[in-house]
Amino acid sequence: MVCVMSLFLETAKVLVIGLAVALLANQLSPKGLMLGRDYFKESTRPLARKSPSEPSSSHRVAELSNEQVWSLFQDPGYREGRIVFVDARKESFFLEGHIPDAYPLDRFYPEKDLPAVLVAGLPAERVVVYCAGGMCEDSHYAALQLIEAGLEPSRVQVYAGGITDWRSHSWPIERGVRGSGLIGHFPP
Amino acid sequence: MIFAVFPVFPSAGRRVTGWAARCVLGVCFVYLGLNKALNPGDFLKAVHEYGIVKQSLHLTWIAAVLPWFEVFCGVLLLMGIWVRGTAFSVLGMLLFFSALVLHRALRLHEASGIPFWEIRFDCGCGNGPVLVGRKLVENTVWAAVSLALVLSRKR
Repeated sequence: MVCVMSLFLETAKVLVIGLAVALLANQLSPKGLMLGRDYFKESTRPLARKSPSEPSSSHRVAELSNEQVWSLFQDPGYREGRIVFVDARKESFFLEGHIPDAYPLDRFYPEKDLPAVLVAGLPAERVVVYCAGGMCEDSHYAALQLIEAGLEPSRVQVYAGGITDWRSHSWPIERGVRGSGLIGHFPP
Repeated sequence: MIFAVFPVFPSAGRRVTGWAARCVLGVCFVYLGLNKALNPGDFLKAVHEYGIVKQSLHLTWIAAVLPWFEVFCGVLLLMGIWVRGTAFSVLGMLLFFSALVLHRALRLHEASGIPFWEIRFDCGCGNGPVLVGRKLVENTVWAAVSLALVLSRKR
């Protein structure tokens, strides 16, 4: 009985001190999460749909096919800044390779990149957000962050296939930071 | 206590076995905990995928605290502090996580028809997408080690 009691007492100490240490570590870590932030927040603004028959969802932004995205990439407006691409993956993935001239926006740490994306995105006619593709939903949540920050919902769209689809077509990839000039057709 | 069941082990052997068990478990928890703590966004997404926590803010707290708590437990085991209490906490976590992984794997198995032992997903365990069957076997081994530490004689 005494043995069981001492076990529970020790476990309680581990839990209480451990949780306090964990909270402190999260606060001190540069990668720590903001405890008051809802990272799966749904949109408070009406979102654009591809068609009226499309089912409504408060966190899914209108999607573009790969043909539409390729067409936007080749549009002169892309070079002129009227069309903006935003990469919603982690910084390390962005540096490994992204759509040329895309802006990085890690949705878990938007403070770093959001100002630059807004400067480019607010006057743009189209903003295309992508992530890895497939089951990845970061592009939708990053698009919502942009919409909540003031971008017109009808001008923000998601490239559903993401970088996986882009690479599968052997379309150009830029390595390193945005504007590094290291552009090529790198294999996945 | 558990070692008393196997009296063939000399006491020095028991001490070495206990030391090795807590070191291996400690290193494992520090490593996997740090993997999650340094990529909390990935861990948050993995926890979200389970669909068991409906409140997003609760998800944030879980993803922020749990990885560092695992690291804390790992460090305590390595340092030999509050070993039984820490091992009991680790055992609780392992059983809870294994039940979650099993539940999700069974749902995927039913939905997709993929053989259970071939189901692979990121369980949020700190090492990316894994074969579920293998992960469950691993967790069972860690749970057995934790239980042995819980039942070990207090020095």
